[in-house]
Amino acid sequence: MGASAAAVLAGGLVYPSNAKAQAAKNVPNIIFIHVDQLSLLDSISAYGAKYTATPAIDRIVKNGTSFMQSYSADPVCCPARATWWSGTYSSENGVVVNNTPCHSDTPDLSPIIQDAGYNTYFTGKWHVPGKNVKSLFHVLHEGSWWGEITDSEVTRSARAFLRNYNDDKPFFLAAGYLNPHDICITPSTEFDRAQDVQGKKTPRYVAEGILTDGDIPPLPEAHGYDKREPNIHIAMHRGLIDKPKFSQWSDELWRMHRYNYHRFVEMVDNEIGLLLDELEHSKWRDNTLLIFSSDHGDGIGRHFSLGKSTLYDEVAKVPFVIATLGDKLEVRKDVRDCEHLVSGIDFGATVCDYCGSGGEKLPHGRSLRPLAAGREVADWRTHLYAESSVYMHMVTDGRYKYVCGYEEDGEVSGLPAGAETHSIGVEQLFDVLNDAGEQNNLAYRQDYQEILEKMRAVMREKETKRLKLREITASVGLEFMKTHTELIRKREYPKSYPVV
Amino acid sequence: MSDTLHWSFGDNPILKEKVFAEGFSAPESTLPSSGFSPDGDWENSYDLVYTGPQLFTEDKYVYYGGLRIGKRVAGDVAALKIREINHMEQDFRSERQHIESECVCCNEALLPLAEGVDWNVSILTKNRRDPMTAAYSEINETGRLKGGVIEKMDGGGKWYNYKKIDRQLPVVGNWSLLASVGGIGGDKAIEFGYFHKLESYSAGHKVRFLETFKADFGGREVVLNGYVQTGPSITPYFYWFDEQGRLLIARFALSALIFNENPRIEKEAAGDK
Repeated sequence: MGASAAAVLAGGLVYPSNAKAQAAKNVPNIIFIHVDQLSLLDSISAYGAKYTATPAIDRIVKNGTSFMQSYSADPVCCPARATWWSGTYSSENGVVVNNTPCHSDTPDLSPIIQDAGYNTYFTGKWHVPGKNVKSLFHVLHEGSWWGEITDSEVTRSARAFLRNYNDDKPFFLAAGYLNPHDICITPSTEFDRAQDVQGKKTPRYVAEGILTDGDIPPLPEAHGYDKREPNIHIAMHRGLIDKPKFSQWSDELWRMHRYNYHRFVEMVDNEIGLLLDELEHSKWRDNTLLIFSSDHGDGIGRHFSLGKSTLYDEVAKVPFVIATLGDKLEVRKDVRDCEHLVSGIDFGATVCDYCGSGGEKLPHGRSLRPLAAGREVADWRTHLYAESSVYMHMVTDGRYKYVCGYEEDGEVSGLPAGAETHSIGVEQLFDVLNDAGEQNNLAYRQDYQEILEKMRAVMREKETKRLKLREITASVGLEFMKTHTELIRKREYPKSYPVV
Repeated sequence: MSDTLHWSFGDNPILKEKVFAEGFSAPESTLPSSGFSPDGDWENSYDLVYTGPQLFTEDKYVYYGGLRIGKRVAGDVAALKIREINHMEQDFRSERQHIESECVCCNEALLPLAEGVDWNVSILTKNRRDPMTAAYSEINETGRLKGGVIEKMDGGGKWYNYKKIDRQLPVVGNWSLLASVGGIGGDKAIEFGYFHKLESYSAGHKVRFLETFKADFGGREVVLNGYVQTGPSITPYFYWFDEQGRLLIARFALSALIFNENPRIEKEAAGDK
């Protein structure tokens, strides 16, 4: 099928034009396999996960360079994805929480790489509000909400594409899987199915002989947490009128959450395996680059938590792998890069680098290409910045993680948070080298005040390098800010703790 | 009168308040009225319904697919013929995937795939709207079991090894389970390799009898025999068969198959192109 240089009009809809120039010589095809809610922790066999089997993701890992200090730029679906496709942080593009449209002038990666000579295709989950995926890519399958419904179709459409693509221009294909995001459904399902045993909801599976106790993982490490957390975190995860009724959760129900999470990981791993098989047996095997990542992780029961939007490692750290099944491309195989701090903000710059041009059109991000090739990069970032839920920002140097909670002072203006416009609330400081479970908040320890000050300074520097911020006027984001600010004020959460 | 439902299919409001209310429990109940012999030739059909956390009430979101499964016995083998239609797209507006498959199974417990006979799964997406994707609307999966290996045919027509299997354990497709689980004994757990849609294989699965349950659908008491499947890549799946051995309900993580002689999607999809 030849790609048209002009937009195609059919059925009353305008579809995007495709490659707009001649691609540079020897650029690879690119497949971006992205999953939803896959943590870097406790999830991938090749990285040591004990309670799941991921042969397909392991195959990507063995064929590529894994960035083990990889963070989501904002560990919620829409904000993380908006960052991938625009090279901007959520406070800049406006997608500060789910379903909040981005500012209309937010950059788009797809036209940039079309300008570099690529035909661009998409299948599966998009979830960037304010941007119509069908006006940016040719869409093979528009994903639904859930993996059980969508993921097979993502694979099938991507396989059909690999079998039938017949153009001399390179392609970029994004395959957006939903799972293990289906883990979002099982907490309520399991709660409703469970029996009351001494006031606690207890799953029936072992009692009814469906599973053995040995089939179900133990409680996770770091199941507890230090209660000195930013107030937006408490409002979202601890204080919303006991939803999802954690006070009634038995240990067995927490363990069942882990069991289900691992099954959904395996479910999407099976799909990825089929896609890799197709690529392996296609003519595209040797000249195709694979990029694998996830928008954010999951609580997996750590820190007494489920779901997303925290900045603890199980949620904030995500896989990021650059791989190739063949031997033609310059990608180091079976390598774990534990040194370089990388982020979803780097995705666009990395893609542009492989495509040969366009990276300068994205405001932020560094290309991971030289790192994947094993080349020395002298000036790599020393600290990484991320955001969450409007009011939490994070910086880490790989040893210390600093999280700053912000508070509204007066009326909620809709302006994304930062030290210049908001009060600093509860802070967190973790020594992740010696406290990998992030159990001890050192921000209120006298002997850590010097480190805290340094991290605060880095945070201010990162914040001031953001593009000019604009108010969030869209109803969902603004409503989130007002509702949660009101809740925090009503409950009179502490804004700080004594330093001892 | 409220329905009496088992915890494995009574936990979801969409099932309780819409699907059963409009189907099994309705005045014009969709519970089967004809006789059934699981060992003979038959065809059953189902609505594929959404049972997730979003409490949809509109039909197009709830009834998002349909399945027809037919079995024909010829001596020691049984042929399964499958026709499945699923809504696609975020809003389930237009595009639909039509899946057709035929496979030959050993006519024994769980209807495992027969060795040395090719199977085919044809998957075609209809009502495509973006003309630039028309060439990528169809994929055919052909495979066979041969010498302890599942082989598949690649896009160029060459066979390749997809998975090595333990020859002691049967290779069972999801459609075979729907057709056969009701026939396993009350105290037996059967181990097998699970082959989802004849695309994706996972070793280490088990299926076993769970319990007999007296359900009540709008005042109609129905004795159901329940079975449960566990293994890698699935949360526990539940299968409920009537006393004649016909599957009435299968419940997965966020979907369910509910018996219906006239799956709702079929009429709507008749004109798909």
